[in-house]
Amino acid sequence: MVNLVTSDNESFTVEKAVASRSVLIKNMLEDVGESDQPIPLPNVTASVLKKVLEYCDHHKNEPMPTSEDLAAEDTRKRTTDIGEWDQKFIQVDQEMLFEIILAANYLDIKPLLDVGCKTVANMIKGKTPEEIRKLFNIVNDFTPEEEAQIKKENEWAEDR
Amino acid sequence: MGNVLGLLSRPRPEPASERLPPGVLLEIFQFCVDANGTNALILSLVSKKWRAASYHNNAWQIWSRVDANLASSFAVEKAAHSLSLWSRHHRLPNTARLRISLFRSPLTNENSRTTDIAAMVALLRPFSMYWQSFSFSSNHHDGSDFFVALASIPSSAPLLESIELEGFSWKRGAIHGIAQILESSPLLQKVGLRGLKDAPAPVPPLPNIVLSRVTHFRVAGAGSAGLLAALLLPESTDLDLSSLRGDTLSRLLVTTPKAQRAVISRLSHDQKIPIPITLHHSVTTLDISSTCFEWLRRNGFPNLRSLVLQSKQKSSPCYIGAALRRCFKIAPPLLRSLNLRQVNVTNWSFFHFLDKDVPQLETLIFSECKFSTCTIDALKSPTSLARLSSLTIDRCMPLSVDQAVQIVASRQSASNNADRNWSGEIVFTAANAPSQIELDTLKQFATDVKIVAA
Repeated sequence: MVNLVTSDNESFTVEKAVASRSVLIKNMLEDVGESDQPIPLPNVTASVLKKVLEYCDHHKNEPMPTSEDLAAEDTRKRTTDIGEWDQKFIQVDQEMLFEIILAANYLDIKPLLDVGCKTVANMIKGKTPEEIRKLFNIVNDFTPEEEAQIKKENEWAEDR
Repeated sequence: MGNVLGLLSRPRPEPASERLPPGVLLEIFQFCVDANGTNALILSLVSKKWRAASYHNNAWQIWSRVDANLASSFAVEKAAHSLSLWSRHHRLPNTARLRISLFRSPLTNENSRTTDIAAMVALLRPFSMYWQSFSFSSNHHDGSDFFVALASIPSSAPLLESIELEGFSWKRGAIHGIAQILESSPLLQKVGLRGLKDAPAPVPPLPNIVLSRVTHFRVAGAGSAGLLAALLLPESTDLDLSSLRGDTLSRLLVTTPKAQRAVISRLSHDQKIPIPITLHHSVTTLDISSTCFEWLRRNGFPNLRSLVLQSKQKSSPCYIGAALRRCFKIAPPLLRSLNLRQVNVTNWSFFHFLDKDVPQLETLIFSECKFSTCTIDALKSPTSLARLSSLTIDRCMPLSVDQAVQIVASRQSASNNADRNWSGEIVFTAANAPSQIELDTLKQFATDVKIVAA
């Protein structure tokens, strides 16, 4: 078993197979060898880690993506198809969705990162820049000088 | 009170969406562009952070599609903008590829030139070493300008795998322009050249062009004859050939020794040019229209396994049976599947064709065909179609429910006697729909029944 400690100091004891879905944790475990030392995860809160571990537990028996798989992604056409279980899993509020993406990126869990990114991509589909800002509460921080160029490009974007 | 003030003065944590690192934003952008067809330009206009991520050196993939609408007055400006990241050549990986699509939407055929095609070609040509696919679909005015511009800026496209050109006139300039692209693109696998229906342009003979990797070849327009005479397609397996002359078609098939599947439509004939009797050994699947029947009589396909025949004419000629018999006499194939759409099969010759020429036929489909008692007798005959295991009759006329029952009963009985599987499907129009008793009877003979609106 592996002991993980979150940024808000909560401990999670999980099977090694579950924790090892994270390439970061897997490498740490390989580096320290057999040890009871808890693994600190300073960038992940308990509520987010709980969700991430739920994902890792569900997928613990699946093969890990190989470096060839990852290299092939550069040339293969991507899709935003998401499996049925993953779709239900990722039905969370927007803040949690982005927290999961950040955690998956930090913990290096590529399949979970993909599920999160695909979900965001599907939310963006068909929207204008203004609608995207509104959806994700993003501030339009372009300077007045940049705005003129942005306005012109916006006109191009609307012209299909 | 102090605690409350402390809480209020503590900076609010940044929302998670604002904390996404550029690499993750780029992952999201790639899904947006690749899978959902979002224009990268839209993503670059959201905020400074999104703009920086979308113009990062690693972001070339989200700009790897240049879709330029030639009906837009700022098509060139927009394409130039989407290629700005590609100008940093030295930063691009070996795997970088560009997919270019020039089109006119809405398509107008009148004398409309919205975009400066020469400027567009001049903009795209310096990136031709990255072209993976190139498609051009517009009116003949844009087409002429396109080929003129192309000729003035020669360069090669060493990585080009797919080219689709549509809507141009088969003039001398177009033929030379296309020949130039084909010659300078050694990795081409897919070629589509759908020109307008022009008379063949008088072009001096071109040197042979061997398209050694092309597997899929599509061409339309009799004007292509000058170009096709120079092409050799040693590896092509799939051909889609439309509006050609019979002699051009025969020659092309002969110079394509691995052609397995050919879709042929709108064939024209010049009575002065005889079509020699020719055998095509590699073709196993043929999909042809009624304008090809005359050509069919002079061509044999000894390895043909699947044949689709369709007539788009209001009154399909009734000599289909004779044309098929002639073709099958040149080299008898062991046809397994025959699919006839809107074909007149009333003639006795078609009865003889089913009775004598297709002993291996397993699947037979009639869609909206014209029947006669000859057809029905041929289908009922227990001695013909000895291996038939699947029959579909879709809205064929005239065919009563009673006759349909007789056909499927006879076919099922023949199958049972030969210990073979059998399945039938009859599609009726609502006006001709069977009663419940008749439906039950048809189902007894392992036959599905569908009722559709007229």
